[in-house]
Amino acid sequence: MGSVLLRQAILGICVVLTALTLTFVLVRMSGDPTSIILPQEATAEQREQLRQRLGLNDSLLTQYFNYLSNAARGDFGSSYFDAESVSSIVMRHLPNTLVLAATSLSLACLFAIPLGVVAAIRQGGLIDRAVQVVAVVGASMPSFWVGLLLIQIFAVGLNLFPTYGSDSPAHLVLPALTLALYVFPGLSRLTRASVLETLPQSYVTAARAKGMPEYRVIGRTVLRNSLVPILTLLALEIGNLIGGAVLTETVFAWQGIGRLAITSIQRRDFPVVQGVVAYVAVGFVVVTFLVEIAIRVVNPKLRQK
Amino acid sequence: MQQTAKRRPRWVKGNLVFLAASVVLLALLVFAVAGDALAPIDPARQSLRSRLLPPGAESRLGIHWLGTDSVGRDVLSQIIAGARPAIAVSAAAVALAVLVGVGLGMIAGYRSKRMADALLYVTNIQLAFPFFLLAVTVVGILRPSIPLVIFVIALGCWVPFARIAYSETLVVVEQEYIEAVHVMRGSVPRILFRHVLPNILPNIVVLATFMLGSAIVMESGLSFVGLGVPTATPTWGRMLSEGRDYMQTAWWLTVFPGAAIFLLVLSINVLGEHLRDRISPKKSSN
Repeated sequence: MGSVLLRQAILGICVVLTALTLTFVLVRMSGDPTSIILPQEATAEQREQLRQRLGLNDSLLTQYFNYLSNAARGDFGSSYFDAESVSSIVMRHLPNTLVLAATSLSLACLFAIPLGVVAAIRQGGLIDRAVQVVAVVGASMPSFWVGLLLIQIFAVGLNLFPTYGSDSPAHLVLPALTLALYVFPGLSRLTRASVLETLPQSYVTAARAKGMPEYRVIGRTVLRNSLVPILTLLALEIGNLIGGAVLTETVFAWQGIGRLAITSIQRRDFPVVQGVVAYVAVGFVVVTFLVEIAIRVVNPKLRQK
Repeated sequence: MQQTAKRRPRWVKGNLVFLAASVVLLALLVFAVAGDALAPIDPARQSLRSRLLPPGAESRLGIHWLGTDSVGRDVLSQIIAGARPAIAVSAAAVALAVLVGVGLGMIAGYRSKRMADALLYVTNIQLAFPFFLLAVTVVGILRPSIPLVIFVIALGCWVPFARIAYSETLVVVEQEYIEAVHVMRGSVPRILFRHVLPNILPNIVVLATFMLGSAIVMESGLSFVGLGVPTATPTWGRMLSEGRDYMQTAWWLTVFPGAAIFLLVLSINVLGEHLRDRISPKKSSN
């Protein structure tokens, strides 16, 4: 168990390093930041001063190591456009994204896992076919279009929820629904496939032979053994969710880090972009790591490996 | 397992669905190739007098079946014009991903353990990062251009090709006839192209179909946040982001371009399901 987690940790460090290096290289490739920060009529002297202050006159290698060591301390400098530090900007937006992601993921699990189980048990039945159709149709819908349609129907048409913003719980409903619908197809399909693999196992037959009531056979024996692939997918799905959140937050003007990424890219506010990418990389690596541990808690068989 | 036969969704087998998907796909392909000639009204033509006309309204340019946008351009004609960038960019990206992914996967599967380890590591690192955020970061910082957008979408698609090519090459290489070619001193490229590639090709084709669908969704997503390919008339994603400002008054601006993306991707996915049933029945559910 230890060696797997160690490998996971090393991979995680590589992911974060790659993300940091990539944004560093990209920003250096994109040209002179002084032309973004200073007005056009700035003198060469002013530009030089700013270059000095930002450390742009050092060698690339020095800049890179300074950047890395600052990043390790959570310091990504401050936004090009106001004095606020990047960390505090990211921290201000992060809770919104976490709330959105957690709500939509729970919502998706709440529906996808039971429906996937029922689809597998009643294979070929009505729910099974519905799950299959929804999986193919849902996977073909761009999430941001789903968001726009939901706004059109529930906000503009029925006037049930606000169109955009992130001020109240009512604002959460439509974006959370959008993201949940985005995760639903893959999750229900995988639950179904995973339960189908578990059902014919001999320990399921054994549980039934013992006279265990069917709901316990399904609820304990089958579901617990099917949980490993589902959890693994959930870990990957969180990455997907963050990607989906970029678009969903843009559609709903939800003040999370996905929208922060887009707006700061559009303003060419690179320190903020670097900060967002780094925080997402770290967060994602930590979550994946936790899921690896969770899988071993759920399924003791894997602990010995 | 006796279940495998039952596992396929029965409706996918329904030829009616397949037929409908083919018709939609064909129509959109025709739009992509000959859109300029087919658009009923010049898609770039602005007309302030016919702004935000609802579907079916008539102006002096003709009937606007799907309405007009905020500067009076015909939505139907724009959707027809948008088929080309959507399909061309995604197809180019998938082609690039197949080339790189299958190439690297086959070499890793055939040649060396070290190469395989390196490939596995790179793909793991890539999968461990939210791709869409990576895409907007790269395209956003370097500014969008056609080659860059193609490159980035290919970056989002190549991993599954590399993995499937790698694992299937491993299986094929073990076969006796490959050893026979070895004995006859067949060169490595010859073995890969003449003997390994034809064996793994069917699965690659199925995967490429599904990936084309994802690539189109990625492309429209990039366009939606203003990081798509620069084109004279709006792409579908850009139409949606422009239409977003008029949701209260002009629902058609957000419904129809999205429906175009949806129909295109859905028909590609249905085609993919169909191909998978035909080509690799073993690999069905998943």
